[in-house]
Amino acid sequence: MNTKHPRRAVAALAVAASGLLLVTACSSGDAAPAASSNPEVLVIDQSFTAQSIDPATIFQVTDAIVATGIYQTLVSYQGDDPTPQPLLASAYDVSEDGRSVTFTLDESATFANGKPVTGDDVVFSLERLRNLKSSPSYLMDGLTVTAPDEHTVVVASENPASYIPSLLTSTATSIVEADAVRAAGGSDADDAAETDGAAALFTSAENGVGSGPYQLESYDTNSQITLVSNPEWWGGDAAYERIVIRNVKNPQQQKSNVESGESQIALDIPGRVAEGISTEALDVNAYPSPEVLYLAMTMDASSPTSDPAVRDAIRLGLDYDALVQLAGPGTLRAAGIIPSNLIGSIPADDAIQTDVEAAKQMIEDAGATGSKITFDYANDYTRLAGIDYNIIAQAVQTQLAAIGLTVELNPTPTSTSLQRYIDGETQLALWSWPPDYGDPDNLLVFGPGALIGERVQWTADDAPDVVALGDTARTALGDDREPAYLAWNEALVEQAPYAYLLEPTFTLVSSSAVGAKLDPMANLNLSQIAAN
Amino acid sequence: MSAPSVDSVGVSADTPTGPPAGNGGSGYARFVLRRLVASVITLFGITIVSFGISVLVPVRAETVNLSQQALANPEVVAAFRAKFGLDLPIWEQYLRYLGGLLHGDLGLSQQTGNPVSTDLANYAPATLELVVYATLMSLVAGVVFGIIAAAMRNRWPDHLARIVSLVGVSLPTYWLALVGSTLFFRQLGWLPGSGRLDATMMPPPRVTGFYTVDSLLAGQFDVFQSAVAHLVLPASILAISTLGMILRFTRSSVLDGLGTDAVKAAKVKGLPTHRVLMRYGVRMASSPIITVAALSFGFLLAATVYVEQIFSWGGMGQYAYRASTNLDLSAITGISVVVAVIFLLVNFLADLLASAFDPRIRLQ
Repeated sequence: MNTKHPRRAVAALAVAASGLLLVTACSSGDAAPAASSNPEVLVIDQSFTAQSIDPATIFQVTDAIVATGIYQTLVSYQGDDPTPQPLLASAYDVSEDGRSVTFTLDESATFANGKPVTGDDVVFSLERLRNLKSSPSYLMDGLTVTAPDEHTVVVASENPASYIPSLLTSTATSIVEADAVRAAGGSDADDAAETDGAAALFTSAENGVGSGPYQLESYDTNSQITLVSNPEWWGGDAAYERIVIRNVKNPQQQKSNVESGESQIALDIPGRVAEGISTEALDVNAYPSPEVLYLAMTMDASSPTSDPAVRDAIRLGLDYDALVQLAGPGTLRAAGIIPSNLIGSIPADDAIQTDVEAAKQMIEDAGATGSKITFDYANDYTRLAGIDYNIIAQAVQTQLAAIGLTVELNPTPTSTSLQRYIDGETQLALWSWPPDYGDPDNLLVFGPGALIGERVQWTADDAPDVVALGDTARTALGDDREPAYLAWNEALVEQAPYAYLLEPTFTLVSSSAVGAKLDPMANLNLSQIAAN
Repeated sequence: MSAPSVDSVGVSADTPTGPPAGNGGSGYARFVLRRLVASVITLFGITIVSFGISVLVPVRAETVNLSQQALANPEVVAAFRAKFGLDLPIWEQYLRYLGGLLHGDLGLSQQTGNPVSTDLANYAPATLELVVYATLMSLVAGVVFGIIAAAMRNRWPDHLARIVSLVGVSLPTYWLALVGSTLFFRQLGWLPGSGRLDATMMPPPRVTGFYTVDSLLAGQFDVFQSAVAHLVLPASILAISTLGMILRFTRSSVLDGLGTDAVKAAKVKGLPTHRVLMRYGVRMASSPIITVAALSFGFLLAATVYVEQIFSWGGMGQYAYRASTNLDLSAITGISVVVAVIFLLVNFLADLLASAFDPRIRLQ
């Protein structure tokens, strides 16, 4: 065998490849970073959490952002106004008893495939959401949807449900063109979870089943999602010809990209990092978070936190101002589980005040000095405005040591930490609750015997008065809602095994040539971005 | 007096000139068969380990793939588990997986909802393009510097090579990636910092999945230039991480070759130094270099997980990271199998190539 040729071929190939890389890189070095200043293309950097772009299955942040460009809901938030405004519905009317909402569809609304948006489409979309038994299906619990005529839809509930318009701002309730989805194997029947086969339709390019200003061009949950303008958009002209949303994990990388002009919007730059940006070419805006960072203290008898005196001492012994400082600029002190931008929130001035000496005395009186408490938190979780849970947890550990408690940190990946929390195995845990819609109804899960309450062994029997307050708040109407939720929120402060730490601030860094804002849920709505 | 021909001095047992007499085709076939059987057994072991790990991890798949509200609904959880076959006993899941594997079916990804084979077909070219260029870069640099270090033993180029290899081996890849990105992208602005192409560019029509190749095939030179510019930084950082290993192997192998009787004979017969170096030292170092290049390729396949995360590369590394952190069992096992197949294939080819250079390998 002649062994010279393979050796020479390998060597030649290697030299050629290396030379090619070096020569071409050198020749293109200065052009690369400044790639993009095509005004028709909007580049957004975000750390992806993407899973599905089928509206009826959306519960990840990236998908929700993308869906705001492709699909439309009956109502939506406009700018930072927390009141849902008509979108596909030209108007809506809440019945006097609060049990139904009648939506009048905009007769000019059409899908990208040219078909008009009808009541049948709305019923199909919302029933499909319910019956797919996916992550957001719970939104339809207790609701019925009917279409008395082609342009009217009624969403009703057995009990008064003032939260219905807010709930229908969720991207999971987006309306799709029923006939096309049915033709692709979609179903809204009771057995849709087993029979629906339309998933592929939603990831196919320019499928035409949305009514938003853009259509999907490519959907890669790993690296990049691209939208192109919908030339048939019933709302006029899309602001951009293309929108490219890139998966950029590192906040510093996002900062460099937006500063260099390689991207126009960066969604995951924490406030502390954004402080270093000082150029007129960029806008740095802060938006209040719709969620509260809290400590969950189990009432399980095996934990020192089962003693009410220990829980009170923890609440009293925490240095909230220090935690707010650690979380970064713009962070607010939390006074209860309802954040300050929703009705029923407690003014920050009424929040519990730190008293380390009193807390220390309480621990001593309870005979709990030196008690060991395991503190669970997700050490890789940065989605909440980039707050590093490791830093917060270490600060809490130090602060509780000052009142006589020995806190052992148990940092684990989010999946493990969440599993322990769900299984009710944590003694002390650090979490937040991202709401799906902007109404305090979404926070009733913190009540006794409810979803979060059960995780800390707080049962309905422990606090029947709080259960009743929650029921009252959920069914309250009009002006009665705010005091009802406030009463429930205050009852939680007094009785619930939680300590409310802070309300973070989300930072949006964008080119000043781009009119971008976050909505009251701290989400970016692509259809509302205008090229300035 | 004419100089002796190389062939006339290549009579030592140390000089690889061809297969030993009496050990022709059947020996070679046995060698290939042995390697194939070992590969299949390794692959089987990998599937067992992947499944075993999934049993040991104290997290349920639905916890990371469903919303918290959905987790409270047993119907939704049951539908999720049934869809992905998680309601079956683990041994039945494993047997089904093996059955599917024989037909090229790697199962459904819980994260993307796509067949894992489709996801991997989409993402593998990005990773392979990165790893191939990184391997070639480290191979060229490692072999060249290794030869120079051997030829100038204990002089300054040798000391410099020692320092370079030590640095390359010692520094963690993720640290190098962060520093490289900070320096060349953020500070100097010489190279792009993320992705495979400028965001405003459309990828070239897919033929191989390698943007550098597909862009040339499509005649899109601006896309080619952008693809190369995006490759340089991550490929260089990966290359540095294996450069030291290749350099040290090359140096020691060339030195071994230069110490053989054949080389002494060649020198005695007056062969010029550079010819002795290239025809004996380097030639005899070929087999170990091929072997270490294959190992380096496998190492880089794993190292891309860090680098792809930092450079938002969008290949198998990022897919693997996401699958791991979200406990996407089908994807994790699929990635393990595919990476193992690539690694085994590369090693298999390296063995064949090395045995072509050095027939003694077939006898081992």
